[in-house]
Amino acid sequence: MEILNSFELFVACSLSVLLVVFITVLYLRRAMTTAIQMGFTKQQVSKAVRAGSISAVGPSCAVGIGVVGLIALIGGPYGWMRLSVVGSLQYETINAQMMAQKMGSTLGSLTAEQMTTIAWGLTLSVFVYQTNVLLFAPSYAKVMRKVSAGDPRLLGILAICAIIGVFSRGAVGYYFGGTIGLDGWSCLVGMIASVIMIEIIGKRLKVGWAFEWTLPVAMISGMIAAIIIM
Amino acid sequence: MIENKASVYDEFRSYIIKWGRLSMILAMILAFVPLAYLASKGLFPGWSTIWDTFQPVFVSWFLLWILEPLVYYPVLGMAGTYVSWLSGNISNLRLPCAVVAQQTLQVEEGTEEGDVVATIGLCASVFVNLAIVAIFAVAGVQIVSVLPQSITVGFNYMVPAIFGSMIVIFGLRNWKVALVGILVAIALKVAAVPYALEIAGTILITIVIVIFMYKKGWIK
Repeated sequence: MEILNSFELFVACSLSVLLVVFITVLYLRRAMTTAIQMGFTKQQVSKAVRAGSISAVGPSCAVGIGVVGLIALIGGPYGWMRLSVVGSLQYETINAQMMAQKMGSTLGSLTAEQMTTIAWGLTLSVFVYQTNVLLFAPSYAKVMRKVSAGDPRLLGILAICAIIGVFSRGAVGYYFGGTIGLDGWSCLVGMIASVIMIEIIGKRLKVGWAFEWTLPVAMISGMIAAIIIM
Repeated sequence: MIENKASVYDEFRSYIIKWGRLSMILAMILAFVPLAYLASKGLFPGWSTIWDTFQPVFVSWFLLWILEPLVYYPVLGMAGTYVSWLSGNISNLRLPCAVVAQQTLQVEEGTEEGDVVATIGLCASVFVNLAIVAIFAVAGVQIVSVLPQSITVGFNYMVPAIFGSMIVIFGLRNWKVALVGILVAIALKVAAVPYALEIAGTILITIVIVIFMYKKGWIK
């Protein structure tokens, strides 16, 4: 058990996290210079950086709280790495649960050996995704061009299909439990807040920063609504 | 500057692919370092146990492993695809942050400008994400014990609001596509399609219907 929380394991795990930092720095710098070459101004570029950063704060705290739980289940360094690199709270937790069940155990009462088995499983569950991306990512564009028959307008619409598909799949689930739970109320309030931000504050009142703040305002509103109803 | 826009983007793209491939290979190797360390300390469950335990995971996600990176590609872009499949948290962090950056600069998804701007927003989200998660990994227990319970529980309800917000942001751009997507999602839910097939299924069926409607001229 001590090994699962040892400093050496922490170092071994941080290699993966450092790699993510490295490649993100590389890409961010390159994307910023490319944006400027494309004709964006410096102010616009820093606005994009700010928008991405601000919107990341809330969901990251939610992940952070999840880390506390996952650490209790599969050990400090490994829990930290799993939620910093690939995966997501939901994906890792569902998988950890499935594997614990398969071993005839439950999360929370695992032996060191069982935790290691789960760690292997979680690593493999991400390995397959990455193999796909490694081998085929450059061809994704070709597949999409084929599907859209080279029509850029249709390509944009396909992107909207993907987004709407991901999020409506998630959102529809909130309203299928018989009664509307806190999830459902939060989602609804998030929708209303977004409409107000975009249509009224952004378009009608012509407040420029409304678009940048749509998501953060929606997130906070949804969270507050859930806390009040709770 | 405008006439060499295409070559600027092509250079960007090949740079992204070169480093993306390299880092993906490295990531796949580095992911096993902690496991190798544990094995060197005598903690290794054996291959048959690993495969046995892994089986239900394999069965549940198999189709998603093939389809998910492809269907996210039009939104994440090339760099976004590599960074996202290295750093995870796609639906709650990467997609929303890419979209917000595009929304802020009013560029369209699926275009070259959209790709570059999405990359900027998405990469920025990675730093914030890593910093906050690291803070919680070190001091999480203390933070959670200081915060009132309503706040820590409340954070769980941020994600549904993100989902609602994303639907609205894109629904306002093209409400017909949004309507099709939502109806497909409802239909699959009613049909009780297995969880792992829901995402890919919703997106693929939506795409098929929307392409049909686009060709008929019902969607512009």
